[in-house]
Amino acid sequence: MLKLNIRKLSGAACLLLMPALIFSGCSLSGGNTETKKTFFAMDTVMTLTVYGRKSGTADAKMANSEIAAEKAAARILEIEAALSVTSDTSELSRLNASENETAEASDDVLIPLGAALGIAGETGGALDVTVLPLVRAWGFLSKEYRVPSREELDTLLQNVGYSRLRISGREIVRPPGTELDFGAVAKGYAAQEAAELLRGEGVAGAVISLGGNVQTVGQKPGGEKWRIAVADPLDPDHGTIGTLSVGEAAVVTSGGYQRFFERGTVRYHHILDPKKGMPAENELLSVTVVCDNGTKADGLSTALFVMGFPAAMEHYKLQSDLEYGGFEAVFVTKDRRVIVTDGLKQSFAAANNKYDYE
Amino acid sequence: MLFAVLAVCAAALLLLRSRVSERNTAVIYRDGELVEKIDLNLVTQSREIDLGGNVVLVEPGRISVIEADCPDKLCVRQGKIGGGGMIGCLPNKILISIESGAGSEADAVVR
Repeated sequence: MLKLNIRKLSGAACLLLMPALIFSGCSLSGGNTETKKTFFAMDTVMTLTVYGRKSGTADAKMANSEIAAEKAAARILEIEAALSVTSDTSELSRLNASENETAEASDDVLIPLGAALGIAGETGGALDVTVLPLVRAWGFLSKEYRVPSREELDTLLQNVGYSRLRISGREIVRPPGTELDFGAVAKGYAAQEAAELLRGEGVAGAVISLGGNVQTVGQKPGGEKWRIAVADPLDPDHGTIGTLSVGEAAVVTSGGYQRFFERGTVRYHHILDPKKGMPAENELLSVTVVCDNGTKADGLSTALFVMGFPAAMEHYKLQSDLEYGGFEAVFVTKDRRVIVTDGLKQSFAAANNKYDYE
Repeated sequence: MLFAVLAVCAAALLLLRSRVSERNTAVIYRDGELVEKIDLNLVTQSREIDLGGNVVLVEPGRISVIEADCPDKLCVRQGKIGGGGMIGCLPNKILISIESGAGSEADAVVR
C-alpha cells in the first residue's frame, strides 16, 4: 500500500486513473462556493480546492468552481498520460523506447524538460532527468525494491547525464540508451498547468495539492493569505514544523522520508544522487522551496536536497541576487535545525519544539 | 436586558464555535464511493470495519488501518489519525480523510 505523501519519481504510475473520485461542495458567504475534488493520479492523492460560483447561479463574472475543478483534473490526467514512465504507451515511454537519436515532442514533454535542464545546469547536475535506469534498478518503479551492486550502478551510470540531451526546436536529441524520467518535475508541472488553467477559467481562488506538492491560485475567501503547513520530516503523517503564509505561490518539499525501503537497519530513499547512483545522503532531512512556478519549485527542491545544506544555501544566496526567477526555501537538517531563508522569515510561523529555528 | 441578550448571544456563539472546532469526522471512501462517515468524537466503543483488502479500526477520537492485503502495508504504517490528516491505500483505492472544522487549520500541507 502506498503512502499518500509519496511524491517524487512517480510521474510514473499511470496505475490508477480515477477521475472524479470525490466531489464535495459547500457554500461560503459572499456568493462564493468551495468545490473540493479528490482523485488518484501520478501514484498519489490529488486534492483540488476551488473557490468560485455555484452551479446554477448567474454571476457571469465568476467561474463555476465545479466545472473549473473538473477541467483542472482532466488536465492533470492528460499530463500524467504523457509523462508516466510506468505506462508503455505514454509519450515519454515511447520516446525512451525509440532507437532514433531525434524525436519530436509535445509541449508537455518539452516544457518540463526545458525547466529541468535549466535547473540541472544551474546546480551542476544535482537534478538529472536521465536517471531512469538507476530508478528502475533500485525498484522504485516496480516497487520491488533492491539494492543494486556498485558494478551494476557503474554500468548504468554510463547512460546517465543530462548533458547528453539537447533540445533542438521541437526535437529532443539524445544518444540511444538515454532514458528520461520526469519524477522530479511531473507533479510540479501538472500543478503549474492546473494553476494556469484555473486562473484562465477565472476562479476566485484555488489550492492545488498533488500528493503534497502545493500550488495556490488567486485569493482565499476573506482575503487572508493561504496557509501552507510544512510536514515534519521526522513525523510526516502527523506533525508539522510550521506554517507558511503565502499569496500565489508554488510550495514543494523534497525529503528522504517520502518514499523509501529498508534492508536490515539501512534506509534507502528515492532521491538518487545522479553522480553516485545512490540515495543522496547529507545533513538534510527535507528542503521546501517556495517560488512562483510549480515545475521550478519541484525540480529545485530535489536538486537542493541532493546538493546538501551548505551548497544549497550557497545556491540560494547566488540566485537571490539575480533579478529574475528567485526562490525561497526552508531547510530541515538531521541535527534538528530549521533554516528559513530571508525572504520567508516574515511569513513562516514555527510550530515544533523538537527543532531549533534559524 | 440588553446585557442579558448579549450574554446569551455570546454564549451561543461560543457554543457554536467550540462545536465547529471540535468536529472530527472521518470519511471513508472505496473506489470513489462513500462507505461510511463517522464522527470520531462520538465513538465510545472501538470497532473494526472490514473493507475487503483492508481492515479499519475506529476508536474514540481516532481511526487507523490495522490490516492490509498488499505487500508494503504503508497505510498500516501510517498509524492512527484524528483531528486531521489522511490515510490512503492506492492498490485498494481506499481513502480515509478527517474533516475537522477548525477554521485556523492550514489550507494544505506540503509533504
